[in-house]
Amino acid sequence: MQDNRIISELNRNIAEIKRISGDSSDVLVSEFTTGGIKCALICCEGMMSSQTVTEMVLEPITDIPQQENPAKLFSYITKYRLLSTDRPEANDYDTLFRLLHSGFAVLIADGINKAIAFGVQGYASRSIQEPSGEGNILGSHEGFVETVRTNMSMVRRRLKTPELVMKLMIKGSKSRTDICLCYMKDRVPSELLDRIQKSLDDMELESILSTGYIRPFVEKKSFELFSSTGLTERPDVLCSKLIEGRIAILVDGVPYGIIIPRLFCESFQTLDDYAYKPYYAVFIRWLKYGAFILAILLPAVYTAIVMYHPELLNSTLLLLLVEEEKNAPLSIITESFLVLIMYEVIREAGVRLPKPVGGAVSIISGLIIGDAAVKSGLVSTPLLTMTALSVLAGLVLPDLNPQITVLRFAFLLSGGLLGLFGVSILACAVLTNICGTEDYGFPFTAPLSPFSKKGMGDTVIRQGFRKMQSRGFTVEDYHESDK
Amino acid sequence: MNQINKAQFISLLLIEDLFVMFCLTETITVITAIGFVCGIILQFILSLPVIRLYSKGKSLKDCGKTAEIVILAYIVMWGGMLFSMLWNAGDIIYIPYDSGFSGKFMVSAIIGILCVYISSSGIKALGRSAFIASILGVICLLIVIVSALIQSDMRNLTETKGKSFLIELNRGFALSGGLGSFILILGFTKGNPLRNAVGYFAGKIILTTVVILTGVLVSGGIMDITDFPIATAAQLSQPFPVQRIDSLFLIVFSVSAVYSIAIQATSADYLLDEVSPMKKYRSTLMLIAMVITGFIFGGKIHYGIGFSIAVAGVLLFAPVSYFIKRKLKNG
Repeated sequence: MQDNRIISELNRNIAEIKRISGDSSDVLVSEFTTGGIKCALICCEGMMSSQTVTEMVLEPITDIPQQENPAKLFSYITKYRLLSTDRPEANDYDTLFRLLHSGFAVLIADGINKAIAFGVQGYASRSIQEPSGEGNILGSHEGFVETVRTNMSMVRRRLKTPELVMKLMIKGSKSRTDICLCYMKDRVPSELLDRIQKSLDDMELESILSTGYIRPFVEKKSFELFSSTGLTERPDVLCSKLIEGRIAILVDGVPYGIIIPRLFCESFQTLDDYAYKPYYAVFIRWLKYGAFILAILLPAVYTAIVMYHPELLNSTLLLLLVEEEKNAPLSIITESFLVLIMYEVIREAGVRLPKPVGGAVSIISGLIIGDAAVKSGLVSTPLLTMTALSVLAGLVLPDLNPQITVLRFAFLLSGGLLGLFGVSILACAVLTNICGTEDYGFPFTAPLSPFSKKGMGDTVIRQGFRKMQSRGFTVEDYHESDK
Repeated sequence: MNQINKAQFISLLLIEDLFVMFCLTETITVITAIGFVCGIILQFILSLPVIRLYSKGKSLKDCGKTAEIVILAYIVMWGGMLFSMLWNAGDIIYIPYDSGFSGKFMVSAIIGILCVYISSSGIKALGRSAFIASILGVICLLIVIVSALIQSDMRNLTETKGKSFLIELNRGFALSGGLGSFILILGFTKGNPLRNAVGYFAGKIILTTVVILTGVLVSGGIMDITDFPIATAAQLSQPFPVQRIDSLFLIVFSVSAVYSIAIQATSADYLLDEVSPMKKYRSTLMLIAMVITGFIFGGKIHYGIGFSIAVAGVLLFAPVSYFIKRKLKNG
């Protein structure tokens, strides 16, 4: 594509479009004459609605009186034919193809070196459904879908204010993916907005097929165990974050929104917390804190105690464990390691297999293999109980599953090799890593460290809604300058 | 160096003081508590010139490279002392593997490697994590203290078979080797330096008094045969008749050891960056220097008058060199 400008001669123009598209079968060219001028309507099959094209574009456009030249024809269409509300113009083939591939119908005419496009998108897409990973009892049951414009409409429906800004941009040199930057212009810290905008501008990608393609570009480069950007598949959660002054990025083709910045304490919060009475919400929240600790540390602490610190157990429990463990053929650490590996294999198989088979795998492995392993004496019952409890606790926080999985193994190794000393040492390293996680000046561990008394109202407890509304919180409250 | 807040500053330094208390050897009595408190007050008085310097908006850089080198040397020496303390105390806490040279070496090496990682994360990460660790530490310590009080014997308070007040004053003054980091980090702490310093020294007085008195109440009767009175007190403190909680002490001990050495490594790393052109492996080099210094101490902990003079010298060196520098500049 040396001279990128649209060719004015229609036949050469069509030939050039076919050449650029590699004569791709999904590029449809319909030639016709209107107003005495030869024209062509170009569409991408499957990306537009045939009915809309016929009713809203072809029928009105072929019924145009005689025009002097193609420029006047385009002017007439623009002035007197409201074919669609979205009518961008294209002067070069890059723009033309971007519009074509986004579901626009593009009109070219003989003797003019530009094109008019009509928004007639009508590609097949998944309808709005309940989110699969972020269950909610008392809130909305709508989840994001793969179409960015539908997602934008879901956000807009919840925040009908001009303060909500949604900026569409195109990223990915090959995929040309629409991404949408959302923020509340009266709440977002201007420095955060500028820095994210710059990160996105500097991002050079061929394609964007999931949020994982963008997240590394808006996060810090250094190794962080926990991600300082969040994901949500719920428009209501995204709106609540926007109101707190955060920035969201929606990506076309991905039913998740990226939220920047994200705090560690948010992994333990759900929208249901704000629907229940505060005392119950506090109970649930502390249950989750406890579940997080259990999920990571239970197998490690069990192994460390049984192997090196039996004095921590009372005599009855100690005798019970000794009785069970003396029959097991493997060492406790090997046993724990194998049970956890077995669980991860079963989980992965359950996730990747088709749903009906996945369920069967879970039943076979959970009931039959587990029961057989205990009965044959390969694995002791207390150890299996501890592992199952730990795994179950991890499921309370699906958001943190990758970190919990890896840390569980790491702590198990340290506890099995060095006892509680090893667990303490690794805990220091993990704690430092979590505390070092910070993007755009927002510490991941806020409001605990750096401590913010104001933030405790929605962290240690969950205040009543009247109090929470009156505190006027925005994420800027947690900002720490670099120097 | 990035800035930290007052709570993080206090937590960082108090964790270090707690570790030093755990490793305290020789007999302790009520006189020890009084001597230590007076020693801390003396430290505060001697740190007033440096606090005043910071209050005027000056920094350690303004005191010249010599001052930075002196403080760096002192931090390395104190880091070595901490390794030395860890080496000695390794005998009383239960860490898997043998308690001989190889076991102790392994423990020191693991802590050293971890400190390299922590110091590479920077003072902000260290300060934030120290604050969270100190909250957990306080909870664990409270459990140990409450359990200790159940085992306590009030008659131990009247026991005076220890050292004289002056010797204890000297010991209390000398024991706070973390003042090198104090001088450095105070300059990077947000807020009024005087308030920050008062907060730290007040916290230190409370911590020292509570820990020593608990140690006296529990270990008082067997002080003569105890190498580490505070550690022994923790081991004797058992809240339940059928369970022991020694491991809780092990956790607090390990965490405080890590943070104590990490503060020295981070401080030394920063100062080495200031006084030398080295851009890489600074914290590794500093930790190796600390370990070598620890070997030179040969596992002996020095509370003598010489160390007290070193502490006083370090506290006064920076303001004095700033004063001399200014005098020379003004002719």
